[in-house]
Amino acid sequence: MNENNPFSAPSRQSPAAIVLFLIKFLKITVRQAWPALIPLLVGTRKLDFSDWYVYALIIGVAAIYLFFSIFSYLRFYYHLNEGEIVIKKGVLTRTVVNLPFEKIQTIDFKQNILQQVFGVVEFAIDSAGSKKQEVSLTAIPLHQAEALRQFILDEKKQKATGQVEEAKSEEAISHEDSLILKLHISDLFKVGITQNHFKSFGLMIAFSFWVMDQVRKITQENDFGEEEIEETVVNYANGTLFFWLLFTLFLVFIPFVISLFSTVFRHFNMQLSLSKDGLKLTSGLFNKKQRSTTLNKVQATAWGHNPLQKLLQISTIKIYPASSASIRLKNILTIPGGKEKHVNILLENLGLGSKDAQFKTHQISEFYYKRTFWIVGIIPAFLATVVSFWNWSFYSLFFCLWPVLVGSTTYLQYKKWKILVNENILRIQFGLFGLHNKIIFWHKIQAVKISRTPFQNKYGLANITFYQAGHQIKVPYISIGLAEHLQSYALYKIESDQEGWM
Amino acid sequence: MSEVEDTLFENADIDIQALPNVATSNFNPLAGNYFWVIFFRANLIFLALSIGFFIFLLQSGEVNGIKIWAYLIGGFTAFWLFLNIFLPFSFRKKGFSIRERDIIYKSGLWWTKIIVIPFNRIQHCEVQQGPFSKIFGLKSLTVFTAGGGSSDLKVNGLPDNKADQLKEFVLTKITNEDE
Repeated sequence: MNENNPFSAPSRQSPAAIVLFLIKFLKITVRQAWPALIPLLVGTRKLDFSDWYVYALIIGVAAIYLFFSIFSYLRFYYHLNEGEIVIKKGVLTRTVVNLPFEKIQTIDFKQNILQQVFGVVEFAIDSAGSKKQEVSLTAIPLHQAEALRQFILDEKKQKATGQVEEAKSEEAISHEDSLILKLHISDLFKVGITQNHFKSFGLMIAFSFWVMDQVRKITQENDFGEEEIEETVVNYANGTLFFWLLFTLFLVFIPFVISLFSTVFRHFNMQLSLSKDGLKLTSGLFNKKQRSTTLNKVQATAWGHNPLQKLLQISTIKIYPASSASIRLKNILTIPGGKEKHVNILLENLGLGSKDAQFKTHQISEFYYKRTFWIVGIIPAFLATVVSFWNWSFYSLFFCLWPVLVGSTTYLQYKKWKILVNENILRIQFGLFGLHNKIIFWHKIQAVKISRTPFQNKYGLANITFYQAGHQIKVPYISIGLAEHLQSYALYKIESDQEGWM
Repeated sequence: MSEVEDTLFENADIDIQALPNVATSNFNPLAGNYFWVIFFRANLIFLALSIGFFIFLLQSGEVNGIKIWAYLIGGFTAFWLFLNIFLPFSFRKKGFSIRERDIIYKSGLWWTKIIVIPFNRIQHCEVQQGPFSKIFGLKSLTVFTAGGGSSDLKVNGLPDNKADQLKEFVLTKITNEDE
């Protein structure tokens, strides 16, 4: 540790923090309570500003806010300790945060208008934790913030010098990007055909409503009677089957074409390549997009297909890099329309072996569908039938279809569920009509949870969840023995891991 | 450990049966005082909610008749009794364990849950003290993992000094593991 640490004594932020806290509290209140506040300002129950109690109320609220802002400032201390930053804060609930320098991913300065006026910055530290747990100092004078950042980065570097050289020698070996896969136009058309078209169907419906609205507005402006137009439309519609055919075609065909082309444009010339920096995915015709991740940061890899995709022999491949929960979805590398061989090449490059490597297969318990059949299927359907029988008489027997639906779908899911295990890898298989795969290294797990319902306790069953950085895998209804073995082995692999997981 | 029909997989480099089992490790109960924190908190919330509910009913004037009131009050009392019988049992099920390389927390009377985080996967940790816990001289320790949220682990009801000790311990563990 550097002997002359200028930040070793606990210090407060700039007093400007009081104002910034005040504004932050106000923002939070307004954001959460605006539905309640609006009726107070407008409408029938609005506050009468001639009453004294309104002013008392406003002054009271303001005093509370001021009190909290001042005390938040007074009770907020930060300092740098042996290899870590320590923050003590909280008015009613005291919190002490310790963040070791090695865990720091990035340090950002942020400045809004007020912070510019006061000449302070927000000192935000990203530690790959959840969003609300990130460490952030609201008001630090700029020069001090820069010194603080420099100091932390220097300390961090000193610790990591050994690792840096290692990484350099690796660089020299593989310098060129190697192409893992490339999607051709024909692949993209397959993707466009087989994807879910419900989204564009919804857009189409919204568009139709918009058009109808416009037509109505025009007719009003032009002094056509509204009925007149409606009448013509209705006559026309009743008169010809042709209209309905056209209409249906419009609703079905147009969304299909829209999503087909948007898919082709979006994924145009998609390439996944491997370089010294890791994986890189580029695509797009109009908007070029590039996503990348280092190999070390890859947490899980998934591939799978729906029945249509299976027919055309393509799968969707997803690569999950480590990320904080808030930006998780943005970070996933998604490759639609990969082929068998692509999956294999990718897995090999990630060190996960081939798709057909040797695994021991385990299944989930049949109670998975039996239990769901009763709890989600039979019981609610029975209750619904009984309750509605007085009003709907025999129509309520339609509720009896519900258990059939629940039972058959969960049975299909039960049949698909598989847990494949070998020395280094955990792989799961699941799906309803399609089949999906997820594959992870044991040592890339960071926490394991076993949870059991009273029913599962009675029948020796359990659910197990494997947590990764920004990703998780849950396996339902396995025997408690298997769950404990999976847990013990995962812990053994994590705790003896030398490579790191992100 | 309960019986498993067959092994996890063939050719394991270690004996998986012989690995230390999480469920049977030595669990430390939470500090006895912490029960009162839970007790007061639960009862206060219950009291506040029921008072609010009854004021609302009285003010709306829609509920008439002594019978309905009797049912309502009876129901609330029954729930209150159930809550206070349930609390000590569920409290006894909470516990944590510090092993050589990981930290374990378990909870739940009927719906049980047990979560394990190895020290070399902890990002940082935090010691907290709420207003109730302060009266009893208790603190809580939260350890955070990367990616945040669902996989974090919180141990409540630790005596003041023990919480700080534990935090120091975890911190030295997580910085050492990194080297």
